Amino acid sequence: MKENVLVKDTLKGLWDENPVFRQLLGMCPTLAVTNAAIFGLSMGLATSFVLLCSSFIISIFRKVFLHEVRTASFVVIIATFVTIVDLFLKGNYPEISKALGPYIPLIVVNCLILARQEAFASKKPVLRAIADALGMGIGFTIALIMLGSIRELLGSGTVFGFRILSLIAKGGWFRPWGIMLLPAGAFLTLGTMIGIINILSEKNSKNRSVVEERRQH
Amino acid sequence: MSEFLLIFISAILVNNFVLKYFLGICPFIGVSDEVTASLNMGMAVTFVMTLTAPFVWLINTYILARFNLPFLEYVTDIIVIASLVQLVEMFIKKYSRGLYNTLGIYLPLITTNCAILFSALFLVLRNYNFIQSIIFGFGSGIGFTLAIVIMAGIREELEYADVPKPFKGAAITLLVAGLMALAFMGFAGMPSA
Amino acid sequence: MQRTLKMVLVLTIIGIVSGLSLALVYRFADPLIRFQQLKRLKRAIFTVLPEAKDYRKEIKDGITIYRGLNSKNKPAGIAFEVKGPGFQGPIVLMVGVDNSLSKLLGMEVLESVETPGLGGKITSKEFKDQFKGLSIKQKITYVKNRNPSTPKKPGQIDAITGATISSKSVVNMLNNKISLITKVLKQN
Repeated sequence: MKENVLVKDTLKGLWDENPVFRQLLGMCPTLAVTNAAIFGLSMGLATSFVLLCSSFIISIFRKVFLHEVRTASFVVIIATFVTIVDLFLKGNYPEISKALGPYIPLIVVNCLILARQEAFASKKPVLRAIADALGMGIGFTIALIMLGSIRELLGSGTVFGFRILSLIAKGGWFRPWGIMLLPAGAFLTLGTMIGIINILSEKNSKNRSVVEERRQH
Repeated sequence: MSEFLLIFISAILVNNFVLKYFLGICPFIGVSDEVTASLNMGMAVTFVMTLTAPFVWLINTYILARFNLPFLEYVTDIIVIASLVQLVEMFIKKYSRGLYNTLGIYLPLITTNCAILFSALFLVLRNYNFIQSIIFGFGSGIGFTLAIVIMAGIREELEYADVPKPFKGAAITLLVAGLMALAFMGFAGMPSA
Repeated sequence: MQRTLKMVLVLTIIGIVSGLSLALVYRFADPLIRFQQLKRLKRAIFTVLPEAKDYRKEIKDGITIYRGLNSKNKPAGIAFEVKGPGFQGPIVLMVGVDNSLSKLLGMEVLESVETPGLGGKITSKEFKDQFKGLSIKQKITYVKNRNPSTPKKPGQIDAITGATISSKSVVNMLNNKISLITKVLKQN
């Protein structure tokens, strides 16, 4: 029974309550860094790490936080973990750190993280908080990789740096859609994907109404 | 003087926070279906942004840089923003009921508005001086307001359009934002300071 | 009142714990970060000064230059950073010139946020390679849509199609910095 709850807490983040496609949380990094799959993956992992650590700490000390200053307390804790990630990337993966730039510190105000603390970690026991953070983190990372892969494929003809479509300049047939790498391409791709996912979920309408209801809260 | 103007204009049009850096997208999607509400939200953001810029600059220059504590930057930035928002809220609640009624409900949301934190990080990254920081903060706020008000105007019209059901709401908003971003690209190349 | 006190107490404790743990992490991260920055600098210098195996940093009149040394410890050119505004934002380059300040040995883009697919091509090999061996006895110039059969003039490069402004920015900032460096070095 107990495992069931944990599995459910984890799985809901992948699809039903996917932070990007269903809850529309954490939009800035989703749009900003996904011009290549590798950046989507890095941002997803960095965010998941911060989410996991913050959920863990906040769930342990959930009785200590006072209601009036809880947001402030959460944000300081989150900012601490974000700084750790930032220092780690700067020290070990300077190229990625440079490419993600100011969007790493912006994880501090990623609404996904704060929302999970408010809605879940600050109310639930540690194990469930970790399961939830894990699910949301994976769901977020998958969404970012998907967006990153699509934009990279259409914008440069590669995925994770591997050439898929051969370029005209190199004797192939594909002319890269430069717009996909620009801000406009990010908006258009995400908008289209959310629309498509809504169509897919509609078949599953019972499921959908539950999610809609949850989102209202 | 022209340098200040350059920072100001480029913050509004060329490097628009919403359309170029994807900041404050959550309120952009959430609030922007009514022009008045968007305008109020934009004003609240502009107000807080202009106010946080000098404080962040002072702390970064006179405390963090002087005592070599760069690793505290994110934590201090977010504390400055959170406390300023709280102070502003208390202040206008006490002294201006009218202003509180228009801006009040948006203030708590602002602490976690990424646009504010980004402007704080950006002015350090770009090595702006005290005055430049204030101008940058103000300009970025105006740029944010511009984007969400235009968006709200378009969305009010979209109410009457026959949008396929799965694309209603967030999906169509993002697609429209994409077209707006394309339009704003026309401003690129005005030398950005 | 007691509640306010408790609030202050909780926040203070969180602040202190956070500050201390960050200070601890920073002590480990700082040398690593410095090492990475140095590695990046070295890689850039050795790319733009192909013969250099080592370098000496010098600051003259507030301008930092890196004098390259080859395997026999003889001068192998001079490298320096060039900064300037591009089309979308600042561009930072590392540039190498030969000892007599007559031609470029190489150019590397350290930072740029130019439009991907257009101005972003300033980081492409095709564009950067044009600067290898480029004469700087006169000012560098750029040409748009050159007919492949007309030969390039000395000190001339092909602008990137669709990104004239980015190409022009690079050329302008190079010219400015090179004349400055020449002036400073000739004084001594």
